Amino acid sequence: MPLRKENPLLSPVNGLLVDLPSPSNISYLWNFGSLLGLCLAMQIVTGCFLSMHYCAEVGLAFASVGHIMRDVNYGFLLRYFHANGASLFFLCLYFHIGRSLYYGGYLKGPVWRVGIVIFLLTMATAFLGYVLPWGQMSFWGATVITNLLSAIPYVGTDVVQWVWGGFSVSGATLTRFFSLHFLFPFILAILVVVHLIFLHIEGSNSPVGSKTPVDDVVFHVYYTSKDWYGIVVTLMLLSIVVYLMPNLLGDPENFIQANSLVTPVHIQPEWYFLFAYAILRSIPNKFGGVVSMFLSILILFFFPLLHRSWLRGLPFRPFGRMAFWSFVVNFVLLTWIGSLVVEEPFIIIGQLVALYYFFYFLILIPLLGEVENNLLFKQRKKCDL
Amino acid sequence: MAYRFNRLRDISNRLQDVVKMQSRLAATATEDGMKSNRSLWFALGTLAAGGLATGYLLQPNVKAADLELHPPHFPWVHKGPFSSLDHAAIRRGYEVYRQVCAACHSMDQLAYRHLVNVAYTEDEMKAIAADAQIEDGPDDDGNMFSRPGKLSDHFPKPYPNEQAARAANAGAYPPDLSLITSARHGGEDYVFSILTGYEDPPGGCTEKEDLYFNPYFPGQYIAMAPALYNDVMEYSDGTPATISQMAKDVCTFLKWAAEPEHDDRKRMGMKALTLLGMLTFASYYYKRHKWSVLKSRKIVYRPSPHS
Amino acid sequence: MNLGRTIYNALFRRTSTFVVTIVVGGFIFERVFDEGMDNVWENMNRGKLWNHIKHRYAEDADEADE
Repeated sequence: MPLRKENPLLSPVNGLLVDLPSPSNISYLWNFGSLLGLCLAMQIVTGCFLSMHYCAEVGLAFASVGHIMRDVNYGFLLRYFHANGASLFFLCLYFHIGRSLYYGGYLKGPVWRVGIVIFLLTMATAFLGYVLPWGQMSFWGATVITNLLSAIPYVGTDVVQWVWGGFSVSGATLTRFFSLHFLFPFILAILVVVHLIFLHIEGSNSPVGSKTPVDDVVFHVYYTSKDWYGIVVTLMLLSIVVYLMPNLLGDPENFIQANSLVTPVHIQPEWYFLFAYAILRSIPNKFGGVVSMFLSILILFFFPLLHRSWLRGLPFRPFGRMAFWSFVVNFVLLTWIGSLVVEEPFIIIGQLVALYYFFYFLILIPLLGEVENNLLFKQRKKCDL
Repeated sequence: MAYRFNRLRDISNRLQDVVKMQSRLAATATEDGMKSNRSLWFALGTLAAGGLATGYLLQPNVKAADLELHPPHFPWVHKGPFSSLDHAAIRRGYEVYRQVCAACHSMDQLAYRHLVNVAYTEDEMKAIAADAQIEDGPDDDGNMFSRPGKLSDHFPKPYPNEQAARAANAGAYPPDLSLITSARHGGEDYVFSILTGYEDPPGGCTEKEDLYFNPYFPGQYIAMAPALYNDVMEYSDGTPATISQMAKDVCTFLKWAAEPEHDDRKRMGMKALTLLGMLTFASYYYKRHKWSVLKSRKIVYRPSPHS
Repeated sequence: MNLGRTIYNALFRRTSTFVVTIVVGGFIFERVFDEGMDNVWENMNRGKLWNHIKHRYAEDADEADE
């Protein structure tokens, strides 16, 4: 037996990256898994070096970021890769989840559920990290988002003050956010391993959704070469942003030190949270808005239950496919609305697209599943595919 | 196995029928199912494009809701993807800052040493730093004392604290300029427009005490008096000190101050992108090479005569 | 083709010469690429960089701190 199979340290790596049987027909949309691994690794490495120079203290945090940018050797690269790496992380996450929705990857229950937990934890980590530079948008973003917890009946105020460690976003908040921002990525790394273990029990899904391993190929050389190619292209795109327009996705407001006495005119999160922010703002009732925002993510847990079709993915379902792309457009619209001021006609557009977000999950998915079952398999009682 | 393939093909055929039927319904005029399917997609695409166009048309309305004038895009020499800052302009801009802006505006994050080998030699910068009196201490007797500045000192502040600054400026606080081009929408275009955009209030706008009309400033009334006049200072290299010359130079200096890594970043980006470009071709070739066997195989389905 | 064969036989065929070729080749490539790109950069931004204007201000020490 070759060493890679018998050595107890190498054999898991072998199972993960070398001999792993993989479908031969999975497309470039399956690259986003490895790209997410790249993102997490990159964030942990750059973050580790950043933390050596960063100071989590309200009087020094902003200046210490300036110190990283000006005086630390290649500190600007560390910071720009870390900041824009977060955007890349979410871009890949959305493609990864979108691919899963399209091809029915969510039908692998454990993998899907662990994946959603990873998604939620990544969002939390990104939110915590955005507070650390202690700019105006850091401070006010943290204030607005933590204040949402006060909408919880009876215990809201207590919960918010418990999270803050005081009566406002303050020094205690900053230090705990830094601790948690440092800790969460390692929990994420563990969850990623769990995600992969569950994935490899059943193996990767494929564009046609068949379960038969009849045309599997070994991972190494086929998917190592393909993933590597994806990584190089992605690094190229990231490099264009980092080296040539590093502040493209940032907010100018965050180059002003946090000041609790001056509220910025437009408080808005980074682009990757805008869809949830739009849903939050669309509901007139505060508690309702908060619940809807969390539900917009948590609803993913119920996706396997809402799936009524006898087919796994959408490639053979014309109506489902159209609904899916309408959902994608709707998601883009939500992101757009989230970046706009709250005034007509954007309020009503926002409410409509927020409604459609839930309408897609709760109504369209099960309904179209049933409709297409009837259209496709009406002669048959049940299909065992 | 064969049974499963059979089933799959069966299903896919039936699905194709559904697609065709549905597209016939959508476009009754044409007989060709594929063609009408395409026209359906075309219709959907047109709809999406129309939606995007509507959105784009709505978008400027939001900006028009603000009253201030948006700065035009000036042709900065550092604007290109691989263009460096003009270091002679940084040098002149620092002269403008020191002689005009520094009276009110601090630059907390900048130290004298930052300018060495950027726009000044070490000897020049030591001399400039020594001109400033920096408070240091406490000494052995516990007293604070003043000494000539050193390269490692940060730029001196015009006011000891925000309250003093406000008291001296009719309640307005002159912002720190370390990051100003990054901290404003429009960056150096905005700063240039503010510096050169002062004018008399147009009809319908009144004069306000201690405030100056500037159409580029949010709210139009800015507490900063016009700072630049022709020949308000003299350049050491003899460049005529016109308003636009000074504004351009100080904006270049401020851009450098906010992004001191600017030149290194773009130079490294040029190298990184060239290397990654080569690597992209190499890794794509490698991927195609390794996949060529899988990609060029042919799978033939032959139903068993016995089933 | 003949050249490729010659290079292969001389350098890549034995592991020892292969490794030496890669290491030395990597070193040479890095120097050439880095210097070459720096030259391109200086040419693209001629007249703007500190290197191009410092002779105006430093009387004697041109090579002092490169």
